[in-house]
Amino acid sequence: MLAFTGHPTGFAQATDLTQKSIEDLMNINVTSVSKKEQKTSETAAAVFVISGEDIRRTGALNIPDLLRQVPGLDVAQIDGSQWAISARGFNGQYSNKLLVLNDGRTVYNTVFAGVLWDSQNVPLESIERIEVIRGPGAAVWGSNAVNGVINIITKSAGETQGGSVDAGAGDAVTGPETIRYGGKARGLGAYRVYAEGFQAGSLPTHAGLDGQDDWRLVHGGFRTDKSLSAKDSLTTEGDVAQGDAGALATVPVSLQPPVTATVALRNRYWDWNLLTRWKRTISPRSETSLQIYFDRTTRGDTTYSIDPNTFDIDFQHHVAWGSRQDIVWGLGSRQSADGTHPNLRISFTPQKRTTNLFSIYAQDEITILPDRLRLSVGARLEHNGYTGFDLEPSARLAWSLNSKNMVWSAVSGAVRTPARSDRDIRLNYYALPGSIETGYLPILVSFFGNPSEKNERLTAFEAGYRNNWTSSFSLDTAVFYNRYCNLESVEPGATAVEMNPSPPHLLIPTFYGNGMYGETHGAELFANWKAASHWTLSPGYAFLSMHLHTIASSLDISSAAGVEGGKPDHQAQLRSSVSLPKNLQWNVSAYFVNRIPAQSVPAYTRLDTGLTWRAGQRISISAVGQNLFSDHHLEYSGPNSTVLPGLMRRSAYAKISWSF
Amino acid sequence: MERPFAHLSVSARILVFLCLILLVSGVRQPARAQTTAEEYQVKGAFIFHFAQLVDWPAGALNSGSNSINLCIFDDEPGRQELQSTIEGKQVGARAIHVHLLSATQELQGCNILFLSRDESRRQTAILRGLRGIPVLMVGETSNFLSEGGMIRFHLVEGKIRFDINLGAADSSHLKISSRLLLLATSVTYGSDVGQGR
Repeated sequence: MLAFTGHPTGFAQATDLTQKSIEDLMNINVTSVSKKEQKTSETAAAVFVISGEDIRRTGALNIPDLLRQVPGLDVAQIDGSQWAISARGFNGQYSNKLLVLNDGRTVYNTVFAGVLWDSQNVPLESIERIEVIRGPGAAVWGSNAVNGVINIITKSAGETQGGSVDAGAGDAVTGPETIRYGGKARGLGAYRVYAEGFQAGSLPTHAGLDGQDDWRLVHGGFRTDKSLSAKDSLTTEGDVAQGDAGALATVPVSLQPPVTATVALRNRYWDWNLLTRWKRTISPRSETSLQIYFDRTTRGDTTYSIDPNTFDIDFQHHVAWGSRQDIVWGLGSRQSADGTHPNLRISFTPQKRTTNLFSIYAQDEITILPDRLRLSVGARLEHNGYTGFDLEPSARLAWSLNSKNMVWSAVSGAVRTPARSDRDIRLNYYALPGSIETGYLPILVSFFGNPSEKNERLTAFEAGYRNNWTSSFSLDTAVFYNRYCNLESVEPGATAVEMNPSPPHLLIPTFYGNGMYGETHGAELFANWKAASHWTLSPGYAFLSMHLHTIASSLDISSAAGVEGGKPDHQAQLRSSVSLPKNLQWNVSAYFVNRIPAQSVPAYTRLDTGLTWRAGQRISISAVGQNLFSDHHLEYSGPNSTVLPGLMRRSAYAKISWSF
Repeated sequence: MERPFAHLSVSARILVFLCLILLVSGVRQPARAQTTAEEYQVKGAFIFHFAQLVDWPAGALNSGSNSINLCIFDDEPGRQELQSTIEGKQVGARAIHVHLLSATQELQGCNILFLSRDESRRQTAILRGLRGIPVLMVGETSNFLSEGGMIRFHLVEGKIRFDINLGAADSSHLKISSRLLLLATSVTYGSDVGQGR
């Protein structure tokens, strides 16, 4: 959806394509009204696509593990069910500058500002591809697409006909057991239904304790794709999930007496969503789409309880105008409503809130020199209930030097809008007994949202170079320089005696502010080398440097250093994929992640490998080993995490798939 | 310390930049044709090349007629584009003839079969029925090769690429030229290797 290159009917009708060589044919950009989305990588942006084939080959168990292969993405597992995932810095359990969409439905949590990865459990064999864009995508996707966008796109129901049963087991997991069936029904078109369940064991903590972070999930869903007429098609899909995951967390458990303890929490959640999208092809040069979805989550443990829901309606029109312009424009409206229940640890004021987001956007891709130079300009105007109007512009230039070399550059603006937690939260962080200095009043350290919290803003400058030296070697590089302002800081408040909740106690408050600003820069490299006809090697490397500062009026003394040092400055990876005789496929991935200084996470190298055997047409068996280099390693220990981190263990599992 | 105009000025600068670019672009003339084409037209041209780079076993092609029959299901998307690109094109002494299918029993006489992604339901039965028979099976669903198909199209960054299942071609006695194998994104031996012999 990011890039709309070329024109649906731009090709001269008189050209006889059969006169072209295969090599030339391989260089033609194909347009197909239903498949425009696949051209993202031609765009002037740092895009990486994980194909369905990659997913099948790696034998990964979940989406976060798949995302490790994206150069420049920082993927760290926190405990048994939680991940911290971000691009270009600012990683955390709630990475608030990364937008994730699942088949066009945003899964960014409007209460905690971030993606809850334990809720993103699409059956992997239904995924057609995952597109990852590093850098801002706000002009197209809207606010919070500040440092990156991840689009998870599932296969159409027509592509998943027939049945399949998957079962897996390992020393750390049971499942996922998946049953899927696809067919065609009169009146419904092509459909598929699925049900899946799995259970992951708990991980040890740094102190050698059992993290009690085992995770169970059961989910199911459907998708239908129906052609209503020659011009109209309708997609409807929905999922329902029930999950249950443990965690150890240090929380205030009582004020009278004041006790803060590390306790085992049990996070339970119910998610469901329903989406429908109607596409109409008015002509080969004009297409509209209308999408409506509803999404609801109910989640909580003994320290919090939230139930946000989202209703979204979005209209988009894509039209080729003249021979040189390709325009996408649209409008959208989203209502986010939530209810919360107050708790000793986390409460929100007001308890319920409904906010509305309206947006209008347009992007025009102009062919300045056919085959050579394309300029894409766009902007999105949004109005949200917290901070009012925002303009998120973008200009991207793509220059094909020749058929093998392409450079691009971009300037864009993006905002991260406040979420409920930024404005309305009260988080009682720590309760401790009083002393003579406090007059024996107990002490409560609390953290407050800021009712006047502003947007965090980014202006990003990016450039990239792509090269296909030969048909067996390609290189993709990107560099960026980002300037942020109004970044979230944590400002101390005045100590006061608080009567409620009783008993009377001394409150040491801190508040969110917007007192931080700074610059980041970095580079990301990725190459794909077909070393032999059956062997592909893919090296990748990412560098990131951050320089954050606080404004003069800010009293925040820790956030800048914590965020700056809360990322690995170097990440490198090497992946190898070998097709062996007898239908064997062998994959090895090694990931080096340098130390995260502010979190005392040492550098680690993670080695994962998988062997897949297609035993005949219907059966596929795979064996996977993860973290083979070390008994255990720590990937994340961030200050913003609400849970105690776990250690990633060496583990193995096997999976069998049977299709019928 | 807040800088309310910092952001706006950037957008203003972008607008000025855009206006300049538009002015410049207005006076340029098109240099050459856009290398963009409809997906199924390009796929048709690929199939034309496949026909040239694959050798059928002796007697597999109709000796009576001078045609190579490409079979496509009647109701598939892109069928018209594909047909108009390839119909009548000469491969050596033979011309490609597009044969439209409306049911699976008409498969005899096909030399090439193209199954689009809408055909995944019929695909399993068709591919099984044609196992060992010298019909070049070209498809595009993700499981096309594992079910016994020979060449599978896929899109990479909006460009067409293909994978080859050499085992399936071997067991149908089709010889795929090394030139085609070199251009393929991946070559697998397919699941017919063990079973076909």
